[in-house]
Amino acid sequence: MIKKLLELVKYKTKYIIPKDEYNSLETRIGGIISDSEELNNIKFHNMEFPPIKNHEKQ
Amino acid sequence: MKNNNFSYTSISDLSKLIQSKDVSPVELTNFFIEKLVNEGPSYNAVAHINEKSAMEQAKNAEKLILNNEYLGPLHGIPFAAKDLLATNDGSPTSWGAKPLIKQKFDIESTIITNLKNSGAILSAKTSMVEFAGGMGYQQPDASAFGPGINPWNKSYWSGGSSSGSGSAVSAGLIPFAIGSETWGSILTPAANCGVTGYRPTFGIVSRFGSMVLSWTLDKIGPLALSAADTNIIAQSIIGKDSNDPYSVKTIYDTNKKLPPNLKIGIPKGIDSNIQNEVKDNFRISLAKLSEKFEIIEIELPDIPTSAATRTILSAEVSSAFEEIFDKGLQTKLNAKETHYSVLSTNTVLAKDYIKSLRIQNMLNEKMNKLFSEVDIIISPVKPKTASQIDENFRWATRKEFNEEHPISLVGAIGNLIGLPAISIPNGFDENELPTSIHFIANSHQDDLVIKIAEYIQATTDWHNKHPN
Repeated sequence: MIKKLLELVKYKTKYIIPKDEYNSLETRIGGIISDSEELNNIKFHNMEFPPIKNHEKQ
Repeated sequence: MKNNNFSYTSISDLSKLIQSKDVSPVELTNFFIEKLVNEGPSYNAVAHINEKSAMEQAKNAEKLILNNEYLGPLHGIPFAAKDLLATNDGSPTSWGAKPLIKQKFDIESTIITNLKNSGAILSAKTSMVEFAGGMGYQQPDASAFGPGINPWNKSYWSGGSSSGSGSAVSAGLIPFAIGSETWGSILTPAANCGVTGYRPTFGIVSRFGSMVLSWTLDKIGPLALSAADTNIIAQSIIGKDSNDPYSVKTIYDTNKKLPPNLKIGIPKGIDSNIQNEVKDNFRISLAKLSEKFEIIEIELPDIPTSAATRTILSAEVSSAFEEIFDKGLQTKLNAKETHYSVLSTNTVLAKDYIKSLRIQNMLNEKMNKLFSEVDIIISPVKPKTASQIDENFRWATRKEFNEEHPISLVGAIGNLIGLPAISIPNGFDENELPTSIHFIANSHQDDLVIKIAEYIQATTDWHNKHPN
């Protein structure tokens, strides 16, 4: 999974990432995966909680 | 004024001196510019001093005073602004980043225009964490101007990302300074430096002309010597601005009275597993409040607030800084740990970003319900006082960052849905570093949080204690 995401980063950013930077990048991607897993625990019904901006609520 | 030392004089007292013509705006501006020049570098607090422009503003302010045209309590009061607020006076706005050290704009941020229109004098840009910390820095040395140094103890960090604004006010170099907060960047330096920091309701202070870190989360507000000073500043900076599409109207009552039946909520477990002095001082503050108001234990919503906040921040950083990443400029920043790791923000899934926005909506609903039971929530700003200047302090995963703690959760909730907050000092730890508490209220209750802070400061003097 991480390897695929690293490839995605390289593809999206056109970067050649130095190999000694892989660890820090992997750690941050690990954090994003961890957040994603946590968000996955919340399930919304189709019509529940549409995304709104704060400024629209008033 | 004895020896003409204006440091730590309240805005209202400075204002009286100016209005009575005992002190001129030029004299005051000269005094603070000299302080910024001579002492600013020892705290890494200043990005740029706008001396020429400031003196022109001061002369104009003086001319108006001599013509008996008084603009109000900020007339002739010098201030500084975080180095992410654009100005069109020819001075650089570097966003704290070495590769942009000479960046200039031909627009002026609305908040600066509003303050100038009230007669305040922009005297300097204050240093900050590069790109306001959006790259994911993990230690204080993450700025073109060096790590922010805490005036209470130079071995400690002033906090981020509005580091220079916190240090400059705390050291008496300027009466007040503007900062910005996406996730903690006003309240943290205010707490570390023992000053008063005000984070306005999202959208009520225009962000036009400010560097974008996150359209959904960015707020701009002042760091000042007291809640009373903050009340004066708020009157000038709050207002709808057609240049900021997120801007909203609000009603701010300068003379708001605290309702006698005010209810203050304390999140369950808020003072467990925190530094002893933070806990002790928090309890003393609570005891003071309980003399007049009802204190009620509350449960914060159990939803992934921090994960949602970080997901929105990461996704929006990847877009806001796309041009920076395309040019590779982030690889020239001070914080080496961010050079490539920030590219991870490109991997946030669209469904996670959208879900995070839906969680924001859900949290709004839950907090509206909670604020039908209490008027204000109180919490320490941080579980511990300022960290050391060479200490790593941030980690990539939520568990390492102690995000389960209710104090962290209060911060995430306030930032995810843009609730107003004010941070005030409430004591010291054994190293003479300030401890702080903060109050948050429901959206558009800015006058309420400022008034409860004023109430505390009227009966305590922590905000009147300053570094030597």
